[in-house]
Order: sequence, then structure tokens, then C-alpha cells
Amino acid sequence: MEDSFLINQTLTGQQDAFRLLILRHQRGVFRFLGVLGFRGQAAEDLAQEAFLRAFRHLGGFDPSRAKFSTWLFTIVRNLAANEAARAHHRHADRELESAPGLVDPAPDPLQQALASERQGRLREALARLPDILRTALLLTRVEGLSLEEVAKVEHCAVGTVKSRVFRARELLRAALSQES
Amino acid sequence: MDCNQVQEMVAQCESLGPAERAHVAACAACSAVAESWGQLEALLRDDPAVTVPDGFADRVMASIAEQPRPAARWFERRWVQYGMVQVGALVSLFNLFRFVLRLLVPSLSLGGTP
Repeated sequence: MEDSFLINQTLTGQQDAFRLLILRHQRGVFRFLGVLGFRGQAAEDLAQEAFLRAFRHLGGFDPSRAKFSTWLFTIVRNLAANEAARAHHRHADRELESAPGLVDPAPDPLQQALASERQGRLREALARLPDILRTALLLTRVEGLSLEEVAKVEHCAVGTVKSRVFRARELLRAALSQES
Repeated sequence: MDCNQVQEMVAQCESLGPAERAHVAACAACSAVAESWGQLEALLRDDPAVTVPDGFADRVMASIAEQPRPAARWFERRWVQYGMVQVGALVSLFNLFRFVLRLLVPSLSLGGTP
């Protein structure tokens, strides 16, 4: 079932269609928020606000201009940027320190034991990447967005996205070759 | 086959053709690169610290239930459709008026081809 069909159903008053859109995109939204440094309750609040905003403005979404996921990620990106700015103004240093993305989560011993050495090195290298580079990697390689779509989400030029993906790759390659 | 080219394609998420896939399967260096990218994607995709809380969709839907129905697209809005029907009716009426006037007064030209 296409996103556009579910959107049309929602616009005709069938709210259950929107539930399917949430279920389809919620994991990607939480992954994106995780990369942006939000987890736990902060991530849930932002994700909920993002879906609410998407619902309210669904009539203004133009499927000929962007995929629903691109539009949704743009909403998430804007909300996250606003929240980060608010947090900065509040000088909530303690909250920021505990914000995910800045601190590695405690590794699960079982997972750690199962993970191969190379995977462990990759994980470390990935955690050391700057957020904007990790975001570019996530959106292109996991969420399947094109460079043009990522540029829309990130409000930057396509060339910038290209160079971020390239820099991320080079940093990962360097980190892996140094450690091997 | 050029390893650099294949590794570049893998890094750019380009879909590999049968020849490139066969090369990756046979070449230790290229298969290691492809495996690294696969692991990287898996790490990004399956980060155990990123989870969707139970009942998240239900909570969003409960908030949505309190919201008014989203506005339809501009061309689907009732007043826009009503306006378009009105304009159409006016144009038809004008053309009918021109036609009748031409019949009654053949010498009169109302902007048409003489």
C-alpha cells in the first residue's frame, strides 16, 4: 500500500490510515532522532509532535514534490533543531550531557561478546563521527533517501550532502585502517 | 575488473550488475569492503539503544483524535470547487448569449473571426 493512498484516505477522514503511516515510518523517525542526539522521553515527545504536525498539515503535502518520508524527516529535523536551540538557551548542560548520541549507551555484554572484532571497530568509528556526517550516512544508506532528498531535509546544497557522505566514508575508512 | 570502481559503486549505494556481483564474490578486498558497508548499515539500522516505545502509535492516534480533520488539498476544498463551478457556468452563459445574439443579429461581431 503506497503512502499516497494512505494520505488520501486520511484526508477523506479515515484516521486509521494515518496509524498505518505512523507504523510504517516510526522506526525511521526514532533512528533519525537517535542520530540527532535524542532518545528516551525526549525522542518520544519530538516524534509525537512530528507526527501530529504531519497530520495537521497533510493537506499541504505535495507528493509530486517529495516523498512522504522526506517531508516527515524535514519536520523532524526542524523540531529537533528548535528543541536543541531551546535547550541551548536554557543552558541545560546536564540534560545535554545525558542526551543520547553524545554518550555511548552501555554495551550489552551478550551483544558485545557476539559482535565480531571488525564490527566493534566499526561501531566505535561510527560513534566518533560528527552528528551531521552520521545523519548523512543514515539517511542515504538506511532510509534510502537520495542526495537531493537529504539536501531538502538538511536545508543544504546537494554538494554539501555529497561531501558529508564522502567525508564520513573517508573517516570510517581511516579509522578502520588505523586500527587494523 | 577495477576494484576501485567496484568499491566506489558499493560505497555510493549503486546497484551492482551481475559482473560486479561476481567480482565482489571472488575478490577478497572488495568483499571485505562490501561486508563493512553492510555491517555499517546494520549498525545504523539496528542500534539497540534506539527503540520505538510500546504503544507509541496508539498515543499519537489518541492525540490526533482530539484534532480537527486535516484540511484537504486546495483544489479539493469545497469553496474552491464551488467557485470553479460558478466560473464555468458564467463562461457557458456568456457563450450561449453570444450564440443567440449572433443568430438574432447576424451582422454583429463579438470578437469572433469575421
